[in-house]
Amino acid sequence: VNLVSIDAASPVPPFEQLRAQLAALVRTGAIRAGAKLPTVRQLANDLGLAKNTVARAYAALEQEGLVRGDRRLGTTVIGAPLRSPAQRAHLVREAARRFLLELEALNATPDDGVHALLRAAGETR
Amino acid sequence: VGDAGSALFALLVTAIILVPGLRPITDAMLTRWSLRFDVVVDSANREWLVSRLRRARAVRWIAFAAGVNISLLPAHLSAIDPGIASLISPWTSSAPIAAAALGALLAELLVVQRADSARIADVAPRRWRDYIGIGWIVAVLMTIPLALIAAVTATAGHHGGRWSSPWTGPVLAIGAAVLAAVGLRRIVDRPPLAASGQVRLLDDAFRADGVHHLVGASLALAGTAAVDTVLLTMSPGGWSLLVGLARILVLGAWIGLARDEPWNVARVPWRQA
Repeated sequence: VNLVSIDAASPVPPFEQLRAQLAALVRTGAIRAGAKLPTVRQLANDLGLAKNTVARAYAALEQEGLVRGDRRLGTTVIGAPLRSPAQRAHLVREAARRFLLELEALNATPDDGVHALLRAAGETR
Repeated sequence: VGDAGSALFALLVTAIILVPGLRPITDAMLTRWSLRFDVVVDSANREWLVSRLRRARAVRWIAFAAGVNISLLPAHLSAIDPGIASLISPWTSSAPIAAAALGALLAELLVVQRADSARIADVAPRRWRDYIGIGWIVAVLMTIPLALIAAVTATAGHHGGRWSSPWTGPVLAIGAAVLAAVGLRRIVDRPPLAASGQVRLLDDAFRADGVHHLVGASLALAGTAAVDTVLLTMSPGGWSLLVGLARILVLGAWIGLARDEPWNVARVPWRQA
């Protein structure tokens, strides 16, 4: 079961939280290419979000080339696209910027973040 | 005396319908339900599940009782005003099944949306096909062309009286399909009680139960409407028996689907893929 959650207390907007989690699920292969995502209405109901918020996250995923939206067929995962090293570096910088934003909201230093990151990476391995 | 007798009769009929409909959910019923949907009801989840099942069943039976009483109106009115009784009779004959279908929808509309404020969701989409076999939906939809063809044939042959228009059948069949569609959408889009685990399985089984009741009643309404329209195209005789059998078949399908049809939401093929 692949779950996404919204933290109402987070400084990161719900749209961005949802986009980032779905993008991670697609990039790691947890959601396979060809799989369907829930309808905007269904996911909005489940997460207690406005439909526009979910629609915006889906649109961002489509722009990133991770999903394909179709009025009739719904939203289909097309898998993580192949990226150039420059594109990948840009995306990593973006992710780091979001991470720093969360650390700031928690009154944590970048060092705390690096330690937590290394520990999480160790747990993942 | 006539009015009092009618009221007493209506009360008796209502009581006969509501006594089994409002009785508590017993352990035997719950065991049968859990076997049917292939889920385990543990003590932690028993209370809310029984409460939901009981409330949904009560709403469905109260609606059915109301429908039966509406269908009895012409009989009550015949002693007072036979003209009005014969006027409304064709419209009230479908009331029990129509009310049962509306009751099945109402039971779903009254389900509490969310048990807690957890904002967690599964990214696997819920679809109506997760809760019922596609054949049942096809059966409901097939009644529409059947009723339409029968209505066109009956109209060409000038069958049906002033108040029993052949077009009542198609209208009822379309109405039943719309009712089923609205209910299915409501059930599928309802937020789950939990994103995973045992509560999610029970919630899904409860959805499947609601879908079975709703589609069963819609099929009965649309099916009997279509069969009645077909009957208008036939001259009285041997075919009427066949039509009568078709009516019994449709009503039997409703009861079978609502009471016995097994379904395991977790094991449907598209969830496994």
